[in-house]
Order: sequence, then C-alpha cells, then structure tokens
Amino acid sequence: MKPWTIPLVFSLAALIGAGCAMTPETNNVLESARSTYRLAQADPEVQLRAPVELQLAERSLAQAERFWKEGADPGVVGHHAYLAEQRARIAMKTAEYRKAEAAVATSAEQRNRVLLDARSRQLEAERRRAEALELDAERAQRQALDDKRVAGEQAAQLAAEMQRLQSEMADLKAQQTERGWVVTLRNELLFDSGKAALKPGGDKAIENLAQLMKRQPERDISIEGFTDSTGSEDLNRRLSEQRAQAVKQALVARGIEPQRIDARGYGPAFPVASNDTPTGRQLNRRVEVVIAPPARASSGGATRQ
Amino acid sequence: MTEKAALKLASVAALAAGLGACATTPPPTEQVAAARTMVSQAQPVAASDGALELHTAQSKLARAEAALQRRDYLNARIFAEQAEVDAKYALTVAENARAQRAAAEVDRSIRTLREELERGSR
Repeated sequence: MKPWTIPLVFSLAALIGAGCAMTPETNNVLESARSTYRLAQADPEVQLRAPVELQLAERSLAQAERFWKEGADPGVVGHHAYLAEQRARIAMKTAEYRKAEAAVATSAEQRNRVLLDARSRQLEAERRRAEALELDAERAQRQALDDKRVAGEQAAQLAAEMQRLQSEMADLKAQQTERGWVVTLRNELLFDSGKAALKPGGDKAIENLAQLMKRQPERDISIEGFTDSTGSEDLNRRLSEQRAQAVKQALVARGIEPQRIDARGYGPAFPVASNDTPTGRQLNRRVEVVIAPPARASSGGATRQ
Repeated sequence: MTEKAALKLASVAALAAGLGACATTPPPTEQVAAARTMVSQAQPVAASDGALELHTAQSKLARAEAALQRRDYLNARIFAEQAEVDAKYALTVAENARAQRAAAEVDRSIRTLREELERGSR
C-alpha cells in the first residue's frame, strides 16, 4: 500500500477543481491519523521520551481537524492528516529508539562497572601474589646466606680445631679430604699388639676427640679400624672392628651420643702404604676418624662404601 | 507558520475551485529545500533499515521537483511536505533498528562477561 497516493488523489482532484466543494461524511486519512495519534498519545514512553515529536503530531492533527470542520477540500484535509499520522509514527519510533539508547547507555555503564570491579580484584590478587613471591624469595635468600655463613664459620672452626689437635699431638694426623676431615691415629698409640682394649696412653687422644664432638654437635663421626696384611685377614678384620668399637665406647663413656658414631673394621683393606716394609706396615695399622660435614648437608653418612 | 501555509493552501484550493487558476501561489522553494535536506540526511542511514520509507520519500521529492518545474506550486508544496515527513520517518526507523541492535549486542556482551568472570573467579 502506498499511503501517499490517497492525499495525492485528493489534491489532484482539488487542483482540477472538480470536487473541491464536496464535503464527504468521513475522511479515511483523517480517521487513520486520529487513531495513530491516539495510540502515540496514550503511550507513556512516547510522552516521556518524545514529547516534542508528539506535540508536532498533535499540531498537525489539530490543523487537519480544523480544515475538516471548516469543510475544506478533502485533499487539503487529507494532506494534513497524512502529515499528522506520519508525525505520530515518528514520535512512537523515536520513543522506541531512545528507550533502546538509554538501555545501551545503562548497560554500557553497568558493563564498565563489572569490568572495573573484576580488573581491580584481579590486580589486587596479582599484587598480593607478587608480594608473597618477593617475600619468599627474600626469605630463601636470607636463609641461604645464613646457611652459607654458618657452614663457613663451622668449617673454619673445625679447621682451627684440627690444627690445634695436630700441633698438640705428634702421633695424630689430621687431613681434609672429600669425605670431610680425617684424623688418623696410629694403633700403637691406642692398643697393645693383638689387643682390642684401649691403653691409658690413648686417653688424651680420646679426650680430645670427645671435646671436639661436643664443640661440633652437628657433626657425626665414623671410626674405621685398619690393620696391616700380616696374619689372617678374617682375624685382622675382627680385631680392627673390635678396636673401632672400643674407641666408640670410650667416646660414649665421655658423654657422646652413640648414634653420632659409626664404628667399623676393615682389616687390611684400604692400605695407605706398602705392606712390604716395616714403615709401610706401621702406617697401615691405624684408626681413622672421619668427621663428617654437618648432618644437614651430608647424605648417607661418611662411611666407606 | 505551517498553519499560515496551510491556510494559504486551503485558499489556493478554494481559488482553484472558484477561478480555475492556481498560478498565483508562490513557489514552495523552502519546503522543497527542506525535503531535499531531510532526504539526503536519511539516504546514507536508511539504506537497509527504513529502505521502503526512504523510497517513498525519494519518489515524493522527485514529484515535488517535477511539479516545481512545471510551476504546479500546489502539488510541489504537498509533495515536498510529505517527502520531508516521510524521510524523517525513514531516518527514525533506521535509527531505531540500529539502537535495538546495539542494545541486544550490549546485553549479550554483558552476559558473556558475567559468565567469563564467574568462570575466572572459581
């Protein structure tokens, strides 16, 4: 349907001048304009959001009504009625789109608020996480430094002890090896030949070891007995074992916890010198005391594998 | 203003009826210009939504211009006034369609956002 053809027909009729004096009972265009305007006017959304547009429609309709009452040409009435109807439609559409635009604005605001909230929550969480990480790293670094410092101090202290021990006792040899400090005592100092009982002459050495262990409570020791290759290997191993145990018992008697001491006999194994000469054999008859690094750092003990 | 114009229009119609002459009406240049402006405003906006309404406005503007050419000022004025209001209506239809789409889009994006945030905060 082409709505504008109706006023066109009327206006053309008016122009031709044939029916301008004719006043029909009703005007279809005016009827339609009235009902459309009523629809717009009754809508509170239109009143609220398109009052100016509604007023323009009202003015056009009033004009059409006036012409109608004055018995004006139906083409003229129809033209103004058409304008009124279109303006009423414009008012309704305007209200509709302004309502949608308002909704968009509200929603956009709402969305921004949701986003902003989420973002600030996220930032806060990230900040807290970063702070915790930093704190952890700091703590770990401090701990590492402390450990290093303590370890250094302890190592230096032990080295000093060893030096003192060596200078005090001529028969004792202290050496730093990859297993830790190794104190070597010649069997002659501690035992009579073939015996596993400690001689009083070895008291000083035992006492020194006990003192050392008390001053280095973090270190465990391993006592290892050795013989030369003279005689039965089995016997030698048993003898060296008993001697290592004897040293352990002497230390325990001086207040050292037994679990800090590991005692073993190896017999003629692991010679440090040739068994072909008397001097070499004498060097091989020995007790080695291995002073392990602090328990925390050691793994699996310091015994020979 | 429009009231005055309408009165003039009515008198012209009466004149046309009485004397059979309408050449005394002044040319509705203002109305035709206003219709042109409104149509050219609606043209880029109402190409898809409001296309039918825009087409109506364009046809009427063409008729108004043709009537102006042949000094048919009464019809020129009628067509121009209707073309303007039709173009305005086309523009409103297009704007409404755009606003409705935007509203739906924003609604959807908020729903998506909420869902994502709920997933993210778990």
